[in-house]
Amino acid sequence: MSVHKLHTSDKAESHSADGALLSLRGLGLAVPAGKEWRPLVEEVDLSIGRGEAVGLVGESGSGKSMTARTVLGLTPPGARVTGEIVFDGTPVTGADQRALRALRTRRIAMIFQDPRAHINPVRTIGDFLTEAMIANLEVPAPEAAARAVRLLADVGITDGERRMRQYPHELSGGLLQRVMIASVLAVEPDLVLADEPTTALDVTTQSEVMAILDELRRERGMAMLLITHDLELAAATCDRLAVMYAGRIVETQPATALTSTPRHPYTSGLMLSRPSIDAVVHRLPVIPGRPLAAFEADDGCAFAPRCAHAQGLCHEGRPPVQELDGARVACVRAGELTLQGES
Amino acid sequence: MSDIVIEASGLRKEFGTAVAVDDVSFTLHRGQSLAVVGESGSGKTTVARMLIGLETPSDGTISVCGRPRGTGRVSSRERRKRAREIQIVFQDPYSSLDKLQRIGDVVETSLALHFPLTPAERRRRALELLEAVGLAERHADMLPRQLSGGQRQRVAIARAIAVQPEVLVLDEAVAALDVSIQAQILNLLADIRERSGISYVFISHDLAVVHQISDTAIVMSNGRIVERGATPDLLRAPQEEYTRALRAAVPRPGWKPSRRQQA
Repeated sequence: MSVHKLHTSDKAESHSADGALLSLRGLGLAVPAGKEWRPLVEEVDLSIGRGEAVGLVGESGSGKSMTARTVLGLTPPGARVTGEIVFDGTPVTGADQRALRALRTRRIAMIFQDPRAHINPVRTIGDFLTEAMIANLEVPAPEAAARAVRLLADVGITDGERRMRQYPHELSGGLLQRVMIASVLAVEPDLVLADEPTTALDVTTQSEVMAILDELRRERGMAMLLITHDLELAAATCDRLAVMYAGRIVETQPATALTSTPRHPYTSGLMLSRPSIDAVVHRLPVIPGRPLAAFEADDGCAFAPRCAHAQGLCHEGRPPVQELDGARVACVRAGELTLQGES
Repeated sequence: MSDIVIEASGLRKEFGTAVAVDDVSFTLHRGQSLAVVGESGSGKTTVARMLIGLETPSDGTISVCGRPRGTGRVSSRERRKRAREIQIVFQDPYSSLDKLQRIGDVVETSLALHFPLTPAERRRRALELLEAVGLAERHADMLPRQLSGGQRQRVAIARAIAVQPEVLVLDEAVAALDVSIQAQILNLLADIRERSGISYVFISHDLAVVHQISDTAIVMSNGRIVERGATPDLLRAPQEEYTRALRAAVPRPGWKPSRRQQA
């Protein structure tokens, strides 16, 4: 690889106890609403190993994006964060702005859904790509430019020298997202937080951008947290999946196990309600009602009002997370239910 | 009267020097659901806009319910007549409703324009329509902002079917919805078609959704139709390279993303 391996020494030194690169323990996020706190994320436990790809899947309001943003301290104004975030053995919760900034510039990078909103429209692609290298990694400008062109080639943009002189509005969404990926690769972070990175793209472009991200991430040993509403996409590109509903993780399993034997009724329902290009059913099996945000849920299992398997017990308190054949699932009936996965 | 509800022939649309739609022809039969599939820039939305008269074709002809669509100005009476023939549901349920208009009034306005009903009759009919799309009476007095995206899309559907059109154009109508809501709306659309014999032109980039909702499909790329056929056949055995690539890019069990050959 042509890209320099950066600050490998400090990576090797510190290891957290459980070997995880990132671990979230009982993470909660609430925003002020009048005199009360309105929870958006509750009791999230999730860990990501070095080089591992984890998919965080959920519908709107599930808290998946907020969970990722909280890791970088990108929380709404006045928000309250509870629980623990540990990155590479060091607590991030309560870290000061300088420490957070160091984390964001070198160790954890984020790819957003809409690259157009995150790349300065009045600066060139070249400026955008070299800025972080020059400012944060103290790479001399000419070298940074040469490296940027190589990175563009890595993400499949062959005429990099010309692209470097262009402005964001001259590039399509797919090209711009590849520029965003190149900018992430430039700093060789340990972890990439990818928030719906391909949702705004056409399917063929999505396939290409995900392939690029997947390949380059593996080559460089970077871990990834992929935030998406698309369970199939997450299953195809991640080692492990966590499904969120109403601010909580309801199920965590290795990707193949989760899609073949889902343990939570919501996961199964989500898979079955999605139409297929291989088979048509007369009526799609639907989950009634609409997805809830954490603050809208009442006392029991937040999914119970929409769940075909709900019983009395489901309405009494939040279901605790239980271990079941390698799955972590927050459903009191998980042990007795046999749920349908994808065929 | 023939059972052809839309006949489009040699449609072309130019915007300045750009050609958005080029030589597009198709027929839609009564009760049929036709999907227009394509990626961004394929011209599929321009086709939809020409069908409902929001754009005028640069060339080619459209006839709806056996009546040719001219290019000149039309009277308001003619407009109302056309509205009884074809209606549209847009992608974004947040911008397609007037934010100051209550849900019941949205549907009632549509009814008042087309049917000589007393206010009481109109109200009753509006509530029936809301019920038909899965909304309750209490929703009638709400404003759009009090509804979720899925509920707003139901309102847009209720408004469109209120005038009992022959054809409903759905332009990426489920694209912005959550997966669990998308399934509900697809089932609702299937029910409405079964009940009323309405025809759909379903504009979409999503092959799985298209598979579920349409009988026939045309695939567009760069303004032209590259392939057409019965939807199940088209998806099972696509003949054209472009359709194959489109199909191969859809995430599904066992799928891996792949990099195209660089041009």
